[in-house]
Order: sequence, then C-alpha cells, then structure tokens
Amino acid sequence: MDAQTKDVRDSVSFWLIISLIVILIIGWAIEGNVLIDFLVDLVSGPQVLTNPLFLSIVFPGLLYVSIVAAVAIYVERKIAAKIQIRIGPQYAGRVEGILQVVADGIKMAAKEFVIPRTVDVTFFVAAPILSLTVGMLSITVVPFSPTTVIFPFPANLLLFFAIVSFFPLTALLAGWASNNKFSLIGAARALFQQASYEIPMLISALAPALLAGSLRIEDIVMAQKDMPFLFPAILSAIIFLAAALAETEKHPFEIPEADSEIVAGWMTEYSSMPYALFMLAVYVKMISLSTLFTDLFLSGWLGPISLPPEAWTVVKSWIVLLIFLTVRALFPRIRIDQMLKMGWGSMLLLSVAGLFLAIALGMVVGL
Amino acid sequence: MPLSQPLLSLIAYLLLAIEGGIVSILIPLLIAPRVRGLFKEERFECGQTPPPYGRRRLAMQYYPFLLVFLVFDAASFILFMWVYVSRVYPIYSFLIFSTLLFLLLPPVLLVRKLAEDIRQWW
Repeated sequence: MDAQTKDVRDSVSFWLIISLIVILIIGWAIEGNVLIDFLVDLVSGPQVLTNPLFLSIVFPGLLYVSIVAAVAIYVERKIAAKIQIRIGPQYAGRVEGILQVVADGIKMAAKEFVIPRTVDVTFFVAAPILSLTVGMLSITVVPFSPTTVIFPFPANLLLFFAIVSFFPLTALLAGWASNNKFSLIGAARALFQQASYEIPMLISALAPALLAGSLRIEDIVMAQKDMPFLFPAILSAIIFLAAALAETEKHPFEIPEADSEIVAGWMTEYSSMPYALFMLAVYVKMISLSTLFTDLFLSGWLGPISLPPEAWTVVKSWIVLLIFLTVRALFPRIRIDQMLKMGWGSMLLLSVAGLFLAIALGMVVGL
Repeated sequence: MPLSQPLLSLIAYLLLAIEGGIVSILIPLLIAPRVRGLFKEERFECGQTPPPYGRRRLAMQYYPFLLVFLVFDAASFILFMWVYVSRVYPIYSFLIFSTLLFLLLPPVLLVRKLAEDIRQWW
C-alpha cells in the first residue's frame, strides 16, 4: 500500500537553505565591489555591454540563453503542430498557449524527483548539472559582436570544438549512473552518434577558417565583409547544419532517445527538474551551434543596414534555429545503421569535398 | 592577484550555471510531495520485473567506430594547423594536408563497410 509521507514545504529547513543560497550569492557578488561596479555600469550607459557580469548574467549569458531556449521550445511545438495540422499549445495563457513553457516549468518543479535505489546517486544527480554546464560553456566562446563575448580567446573556434567533444560524455555518465539497460543503450547510441558526426562538423568548420586564414571567429566574421562564406562554402555549410542536428540529437537524429525503442534513452530514469535540465541543455547547444553557424557562414554581425551588431547576430542565429526546429517536424527518425553509414560515409566524404570546393571557389572570388 | 575581465566573466558564468543546476535540483526535492510506492524506486523495465543487474554488455560491432573516431579526432585537430600554414606556404600546405586526408581514406572505407554489414550482427 502507498503511504503518504509528510512533505517539507512548511519546515524551517526549506527556508534556511533558501536563505543560505541567497546570502552566498550576494556575498560572492559583493566581494571586491563587483556588484557595485556592475550596478554603476548598468545605469551609466552602453559600456555596460562590456561589463563581465552583464556578459555572463544578461547577454549573451544565462538570461539570454534561458529566454531563447524557452521561446524556442514554444516555437518548435507550434511549428510542429502547424505542419502536422494540429493546433499545439492552446490553453496556458490567453493567446495561443503562450505561457505553456512557464506552465511546463512549474509542473516539472512540482513533480517528484525519483532517485531509484539501484543508481549511482552521486553521478546520477551530477549528470544533469554537468550536461547543462557543458552546454552553457559552449556559448562562452561564441562572439555576438567583436566586444560581446563572454570569454575571448585567440583560437576560439578550436576551443569551441574542444567543448563540443564533452557533449557525449555527459550522456554516457547519465546512462551509466542510471544502471538501466535502456539508459545504457541510449548513452552508447549518443556516444556513437556524436562521435560519427563530430568529424564532418570539424572539417566543415575548417572551410571558413581556411578562407579567412584564422582560427579566431572574430577574424572569420570580418573576412566576410564583402561576401558571406555561405557562397564559396555552400557544401560545407549544409554538412555543418546536418552535423549540428546530429550533435543536438534532434530529429531525424533522435536515435539516443528513441521513444518507441528505448523509452527515453539515457534519460529514462530521470524525472522532474533534472529531466528539464537535460532538455534545457539540448536547446542551449542548439543556440550555440546556430550562433556559430551564423558567424562562420552568414557573416555574423555584419549587415547591409546600420543596426547594432548584436542584433544582426541574434536575428541570423534565430533564422538558423528556425531551420533546426522546422526540420524536426519534417523527417522521421533514421535507424542507427543508417546514421553510421551516413556519418562515416557520405557526410565525411562530402565534408572533405566541400573543403576543397571552398578552397577552389575562394581562389576564384579572390579570398 | 586581480582577475582579468574575461576570466571573471567565465568564472561568474560557470558558477552561476552550476548554482542554477543545483538549485533546480533542490527545488523538487524540497517542495514536491514524496509518495512511497512498491515499485517506484526500482529501475524501469516497462512493466516487467526488473532483473538484479541493469548494466548489460554493449554490442561489439560498434567498437571499431570509436577507435576510428579517436584517430580522426586527433587528425582533424592537426588539420587546423593548415589554417596558419596556408597563408605562408599555400601550395606546399595544400599538398601536405591533402595527402593526410588521402591517408585517412582506408579507415573511412573500413568503417563504411562495417556500417553496411552491421545488420548481420542483429
């Protein structure tokens, strides 16, 4: 028989822990007058855009990424619904279910986080935090303008791919810690998929780097002031987009969490907010990859009309993000043998062909 | 020692991301109702009785793909050096790195053949 246990919502410990977290945040922020400097910059003008706290908290940091992820989730559901002749979210919020994501977040927070007794608890709890952190880390090196980057680095393209290499490790950790055969199979599939498509993505990203003669993304963008690299490196751009879809495990590459085959893959044993953290991490990766695509192939923050450079990057990355979201509703899931054949066969060979084509066309147009 | 601005941004960002993850996990542990159930804490087995062990052996046919990936990952990072060398020695670097790509062709053909034959293992 089920027994109702006493919940802790009106216990003293809940409020003590919340107060402790708030005090820790304020204490850390005030140390070295960091918070005071930030507040002074906030009210004194546009130099706040280069303030390190502004970059990490507001744009392009946590707040921007969280809001874009939430909007992307809603837009994806609406686009998929319209393509499938449905309505999609409708009831949460007065207009077209616009508060559906908020309702889902509250629902997730209020659900019980079940920790099965057979899991490795430390890594089971750490895996979603690690997944989100690695996803968030990938956006720190992608510039939104020459001065709007959380962590400027001389070879940030190389650093980005070093961070991307960690994506499958968090899935493997979650799958192994879950001690469940469905989780382990899903984790292994995630590893094989991301390993198969990382090489074509690397080689495709090499094309704009070769055309610009630099591994610094800012230099690659500035080299596109006459023409975006989309045109000489069209094949590389297409391969990069497809490989990015595979890296984020979205349709048609949803093999690691194939619902009809292995329940939820490496997320089978997860519920509540940890499951939401994994979902958020996926969308954060999509945002960072779409912004990188914008910088590598769509001339980043450069544009014909005089707008703030960050605005151009955001608009273009949203166009790429919409492509990712639309493809989800258009293609069925492929099999794992089809995925491996495509990744190691056609994608790899096409990425190399795209590289040589970009070099040849670059020489023709005088890059 | 004062931290540089970019490092301060990165540390702040990472700390907040980790802290956000921890708080997100703490919230349901604190506010969500806990209802004990007979099978709730058992591993999920689609309604079947869970066996005593959850970790099974992985299929062997996928192992060569990981080995080839290790080789290709190292080789593709070496390829990034082409970016810097190409501006100084364009023809020479093109020949060298094209040869490197050509040398990586046999593993590609091997894994492609393995991928085509993978259904024989099912």
